[in-house]
Amino acid sequence: MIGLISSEWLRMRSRRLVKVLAVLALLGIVAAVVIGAVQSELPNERDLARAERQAEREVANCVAQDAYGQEAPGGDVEALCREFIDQSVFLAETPLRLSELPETLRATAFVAILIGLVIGASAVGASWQTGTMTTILTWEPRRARVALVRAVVVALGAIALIALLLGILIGLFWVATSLRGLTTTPDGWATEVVGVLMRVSVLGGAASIIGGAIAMLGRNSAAALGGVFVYLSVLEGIVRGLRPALGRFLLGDNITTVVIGDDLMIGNGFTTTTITPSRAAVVVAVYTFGLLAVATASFRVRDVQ
Amino acid sequence: MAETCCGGGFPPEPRQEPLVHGQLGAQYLDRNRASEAQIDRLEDLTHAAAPESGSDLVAIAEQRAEQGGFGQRVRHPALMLALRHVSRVAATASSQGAPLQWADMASVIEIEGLRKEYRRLRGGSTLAVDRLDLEVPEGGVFGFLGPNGAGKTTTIRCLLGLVRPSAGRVRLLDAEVPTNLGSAIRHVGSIVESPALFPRFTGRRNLEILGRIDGIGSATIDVSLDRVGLTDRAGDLVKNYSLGMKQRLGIAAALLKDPSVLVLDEPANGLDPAGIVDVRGLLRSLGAEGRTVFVSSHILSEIQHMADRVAIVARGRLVASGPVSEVLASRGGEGVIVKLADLRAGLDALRAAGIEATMGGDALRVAVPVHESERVSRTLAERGLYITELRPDEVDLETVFLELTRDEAEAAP
Repeated sequence: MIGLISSEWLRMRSRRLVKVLAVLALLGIVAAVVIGAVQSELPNERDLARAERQAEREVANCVAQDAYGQEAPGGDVEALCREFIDQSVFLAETPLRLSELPETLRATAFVAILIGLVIGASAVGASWQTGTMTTILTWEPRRARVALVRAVVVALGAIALIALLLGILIGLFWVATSLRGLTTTPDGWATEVVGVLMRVSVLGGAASIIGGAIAMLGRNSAAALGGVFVYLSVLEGIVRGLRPALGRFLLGDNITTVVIGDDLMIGNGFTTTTITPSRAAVVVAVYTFGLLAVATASFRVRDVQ
Repeated sequence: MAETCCGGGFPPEPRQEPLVHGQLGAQYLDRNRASEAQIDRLEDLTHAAAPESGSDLVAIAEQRAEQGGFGQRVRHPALMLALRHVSRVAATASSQGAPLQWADMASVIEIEGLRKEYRRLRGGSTLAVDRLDLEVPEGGVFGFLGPNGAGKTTTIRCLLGLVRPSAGRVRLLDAEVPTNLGSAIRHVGSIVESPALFPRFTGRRNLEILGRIDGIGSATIDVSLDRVGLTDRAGDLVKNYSLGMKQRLGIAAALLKDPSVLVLDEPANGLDPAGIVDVRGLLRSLGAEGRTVFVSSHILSEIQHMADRVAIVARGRLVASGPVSEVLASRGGEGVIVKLADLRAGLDALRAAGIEATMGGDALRVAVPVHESERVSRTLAERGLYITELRPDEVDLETVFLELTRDEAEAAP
């Protein structure tokens, strides 16, 4: 078992596709941060003072209108208003703000999931297309072991790669905001950043398992990528349109909820349903491990030509 | 169990009484043309160990070698293979509470009533293998022959657990396939059809990836690469290899496990004449080391030069099996071919002397054993007829193969 894990890990890190994806993602991260830094302009003292005055006026309005009808925790209306009103929105310039890092990380989720999906689908699909699955099975004929070890190694590899890339993004973003932006952050910011990083990375890992499982069933990388695309963009769209309430069981909505890390309300205006992050995580896990189980069971009984 | 050319199975081994490990191993080595010294060494070793138990004799041998008790001789490949084999047989017999018998060692591959039907998408099915019985004894080169579509590759796939038989039983190194294949596969090296390798990795990286599954290190990889003559190209991407180089790399991968059984499907495919000769030499040497080399091929002359035994399949069925000489004898004429200037006169002279002969083409086929060919030449010379050529009436494997497969095709409904 250890030997098989070691072999799969060596294969995973030797794969050109993984290296190409990593380099492309890295270039994308560097380019995005550099562009953001170049476009970032720090406000001068006068702009800051004006924004501060506008913010204070807005706070006063807010207090006068009893926090716009919101219920203040502990009755501290002014504290609630100050939490709502961000002085930076009154600045004419748009500096890069470290406080926006969690949102930036969330925005990378689509790419991270795509990377995971491609890595997983190609890791399994390539073995079928080149015939190396036959070779591997002449070394380790216990197919369930082969399928599960590969899924675990590919998922861990995808998680590590995505976490590394997001870590690099965080580092570059921090440097950019230190040089050409604002570094003030609200309370709980660091926890939120770590939470988003972990959730997005794990979703990338789950996507790699889903991609690998479909490639195992279709014995082809393209089958996996095409299948996921058709499912997410067509089938889920149809189901969502016909039966909005079923949205809480759909992969897309649950992935979105996990990325956000907060409750997601879905519906069509007439009926709404709330998906909680914990429930969404369970649904994503069911999809992931369910597909893996089906693919492994199929792999165990089908002939290998 | 197996059908043979001559109507029976492989001749049963004469020894059936219980044997101790040392004797088993000694017989194994004897069968594989080992030296007296190797046999003595094995007997010393196994008697010094615990002959009545299922001890891991390989581990003991290695331990002894390290301690210097037996020196480097104990590491001789044939001896190590014998030890490995005896250990395995001993463990199996011990677990079953049965006495060790020479018969236990008879076959490394046993196929009984194998049938494989492929279902077609549009209904119906294709019968690839039909009630195939086959036994492959331990050691030497075993040729597995058959025309395209005869079921050779399907049989190999069933043997390696890649394809599930529709019916029948397959055993490899005493392990039931596919249920217990996991324990046996580490002693089996194989190539199925063309070697399937990772094209965008180097040759060495391919071997590293496979070797890691069994914890095989770089030293063994170097030896395997050297053995197939790929050391200089090991750093090149496999996608840039010629077909012959890929075959060599496939063989190197199969050798990595230091296997006691090699299952090779058309290993000479894509090789140039020099490469074919190299591979032939390699497979013969592997067989001579005591390994069992099960090789399928359609290059019949290669098999005839290389194999100790053959099996011929046609339309999914075994049509002949046994030592090459027996298979050839089953179809060969016991006689001599004679050429002379006046064939008609020669034929009359031989018949007049009571020697059975027929005219065929530019020669006479004379039905006398080779060792009595002097009779033929004397009879003709006495009548003033002088022979220009006299040779044994030998058939080659190709002729036998074509006859057998044609017979089978004609017999098919």
